[in-house]
Amino acid sequence: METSAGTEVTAWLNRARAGDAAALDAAYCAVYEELKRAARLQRRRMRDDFQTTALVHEAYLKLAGGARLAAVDRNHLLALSARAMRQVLVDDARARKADKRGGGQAALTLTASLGSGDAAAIEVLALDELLTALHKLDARVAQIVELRYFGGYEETEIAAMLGITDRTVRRDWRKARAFLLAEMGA
Amino acid sequence: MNDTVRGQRALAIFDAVADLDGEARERRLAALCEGDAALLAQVRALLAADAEATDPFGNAPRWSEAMATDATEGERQIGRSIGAWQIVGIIGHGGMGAVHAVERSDGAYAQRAALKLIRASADTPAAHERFLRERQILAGLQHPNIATLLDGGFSAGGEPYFVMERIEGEPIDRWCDARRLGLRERIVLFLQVLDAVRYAHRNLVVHRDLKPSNLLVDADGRVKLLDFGIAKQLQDSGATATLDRALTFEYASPEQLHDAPITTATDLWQLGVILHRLLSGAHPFGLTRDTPLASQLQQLEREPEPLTRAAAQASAEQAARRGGMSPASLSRALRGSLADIVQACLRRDPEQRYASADALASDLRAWLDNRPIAAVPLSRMQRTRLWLRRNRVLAAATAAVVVALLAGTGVALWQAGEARAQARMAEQRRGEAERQSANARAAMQFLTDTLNAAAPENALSTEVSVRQLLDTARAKLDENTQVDARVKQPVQRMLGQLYYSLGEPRIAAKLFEQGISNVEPVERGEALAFAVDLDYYSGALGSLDLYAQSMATEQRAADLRQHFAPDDTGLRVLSLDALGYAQYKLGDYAKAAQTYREGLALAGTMRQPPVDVVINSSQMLAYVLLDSGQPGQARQVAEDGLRFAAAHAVPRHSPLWVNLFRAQGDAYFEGGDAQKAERPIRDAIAVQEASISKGYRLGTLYNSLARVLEKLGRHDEAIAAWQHAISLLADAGAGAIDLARNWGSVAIAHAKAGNLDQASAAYQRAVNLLDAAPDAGARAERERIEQKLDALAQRPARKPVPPAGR
Repeated sequence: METSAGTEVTAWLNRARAGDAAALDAAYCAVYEELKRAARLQRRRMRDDFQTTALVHEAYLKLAGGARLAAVDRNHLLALSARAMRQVLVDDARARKADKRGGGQAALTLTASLGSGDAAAIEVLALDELLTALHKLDARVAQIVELRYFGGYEETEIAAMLGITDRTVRRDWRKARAFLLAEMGA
Repeated sequence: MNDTVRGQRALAIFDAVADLDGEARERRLAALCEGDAALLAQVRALLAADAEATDPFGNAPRWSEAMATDATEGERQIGRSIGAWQIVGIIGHGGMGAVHAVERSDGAYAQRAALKLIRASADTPAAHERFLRERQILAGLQHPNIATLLDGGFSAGGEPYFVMERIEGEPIDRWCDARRLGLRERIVLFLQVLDAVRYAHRNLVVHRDLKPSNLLVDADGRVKLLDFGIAKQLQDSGATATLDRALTFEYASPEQLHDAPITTATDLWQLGVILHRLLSGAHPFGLTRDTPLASQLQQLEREPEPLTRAAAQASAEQAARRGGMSPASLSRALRGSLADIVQACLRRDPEQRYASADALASDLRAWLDNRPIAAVPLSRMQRTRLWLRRNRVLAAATAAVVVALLAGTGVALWQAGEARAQARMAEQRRGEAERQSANARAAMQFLTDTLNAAAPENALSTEVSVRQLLDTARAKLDENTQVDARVKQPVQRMLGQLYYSLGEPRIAAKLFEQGISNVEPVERGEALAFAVDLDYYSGALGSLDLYAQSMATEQRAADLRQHFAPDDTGLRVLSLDALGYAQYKLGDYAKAAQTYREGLALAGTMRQPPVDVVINSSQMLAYVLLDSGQPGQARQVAEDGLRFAAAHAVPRHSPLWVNLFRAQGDAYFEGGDAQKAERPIRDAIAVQEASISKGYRLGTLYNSLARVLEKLGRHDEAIAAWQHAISLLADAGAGAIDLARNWGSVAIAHAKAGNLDQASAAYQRAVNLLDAAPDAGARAERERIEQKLDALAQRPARKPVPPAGR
């Protein structure tokens, strides 16, 4: 789905403000595409290392229109940005893998030098698969992983976004970490 | 138990036992797993992993970059040649591509520069357009404090690129800190920033991304404004105001955060944040790099930290870097004017900020001179007195036009006048000022309504051009005969400015004619704004070859400034420059020379004379003197101008040099010293060749050079220069007569050198060109060339002149 600028989002938001609960979801759907677009752009900006800031800012502008977002909307949006970034990175990683195969080069290996694009692509795909598995076991734990690795958010930010305590985030994170390491070691 | 359920159980059990140790953990494990060996194994695997205490994806923060950089992509470009440039390194990465360090590879002369190239992967039509827009914006901005555009074009592979002056400098905040500059020195440096921003605004460009990293200070202490990547041209249709590149929140204005219309006031906000940082060392909303994102948003919704409090909370080190102060003494020094000035930039409502960079600069200068400032603390402002409330119903396109009207042209100055009027209101003429602003409010309301009515219902999705809206607004204005003239006339003048900016002097002149009739400003702010209207009107009249009227109009502007702002020397210098030009166009060389001299003398008394105006006056005066047969004086004036430019550190590649060099060269030539004329003409050519706009101007410079060489008897070189001039002029679309004149010169040069065959061939080319454009001018030119050749008594064979007219 492609949305045209903020028009659609603005329209949905207006309806949401008028009391149409379903409209807010529609606005998020529309803005998700926007976030993905922004994420793609964001990937090409290398000046500020890994920052969802810029990404969210753009979508924030789109979504907020003239109004100020309620805190709950804002948190939802921040969370969505991590999802968008995940999607974009996974798409890129898949494309890269396909490129390499098409080019007849040696299959990707984990011995590629750290930090190189290939190694990153492998990690992205691995984490994506693991998250899909983890999501079935515990959706919130999976989301925390997503926010941390793809969104680049800190513990306290994640707690605020999900409306849970820092302590809960830490506990969930411990579960997630153990799961990921155990699965990777298996 | 299926895998999913077992996995869920395993995680739950892990959670339950993870904090237990030894015996206790084993007992609990056994109890919870209830003899399910598979489950127990899974939990043990989790516990073992937990003990590893490593981050499974510690590289996550670098994924994005690693995959985007492709490691070798930047380096791959090194050594590549693009146009006359060779890539020698990488300076940085931007939204759409990298900025490369380049050197000139054609050996013309050594030059280091920065080349911006769009990335193939980012090359969508929209990105393409944006990239070209940045190039176009830069091409229109020639200012000593803005990184100069040197060249541009398309690579062999069709990628657009442009080349800018390469600035070796440090961000302004770090530069000040490293040199431990005191407050005064910081303000003086900041005035350079304002000069650049003011210049951009006058050219209808809003930067939108002002921050220290875009304000570099070079080794000579000159500020250079960079990166117009997201700048906006106010005369563009604003319907597609989509942000294509993210900003950092740190310097974003409230209207950027809320997607409200962007105006020059946006830059004023960002200037306020920078100034706050330069003075106090802190961000006005207490943001740092480490502030979590969610809190950034919340903090930005609050009121800014007062400058004095920020200073009081500064570290001893930060305070010491400001000329050796303590936090307490810094806070005291910032109290009063400086705190008010920063606060007046950081007002949430764009309309309550300084109306222009000029107004801000003027207050900072007042502070430097210990004079009272114009900014009024917010508490005393009547918040409700906003004459243009943002209208939520207003469609985006309409808003953009109103914004352009308000911000770009004249109204900013008018607003400044309004602010000053408010400040004085308490003292005197309260009734008069209120009546005026009531009229102004009504005028703006009228304009808003008109434009609103002009915009289609679905303006959000349909692009409406500024031109269309203006045309509709103008028609409505004509239709509406009941509106009070005092309401209507300011709108007419505003529209006049816009039409003039759009290159429609005829419509503009008509609007001004109606808009100024019977207007007699009675108050300083109003009068100065009106004088700007008159400048535009005079320009429009000049474009229409109505020199006498243009002159009279400019005189009236000058008189108004003299009467209402006798103390403002800068304005007076500007007036005299414009006046001199009108007199020159009118053919009154004596008066023009006198006017220019007066302006230059006045500028000589200023601490910070307006550099571009002084240079323009100098070069114009030199040509006025040349045209009145005084080459000696002309040369002196040109040389004074050159010294002035050097003393004010005009950059080496600035086009401001070109006409000064040329005037010096032409003055030598006219004075009979062709020998000395060569050097300055070649200097002019070198500067012009480094700039983006080669074309016509460069052709005429080569023409001047050829003339000099011919005089020196270097016929072959002269002929080569003429031929180069011809190819440049032809590329620039010069007319047949221009080109034929040059071929005629070539013919004469050949004849002088005794090459009769070649003289004949060149003559034939001139004749062919003139034959293709057989009008009176062409015939006259043809006769002129023939006479010259006849006079040489070595007339080459030629065919007879065809009958006149066809």
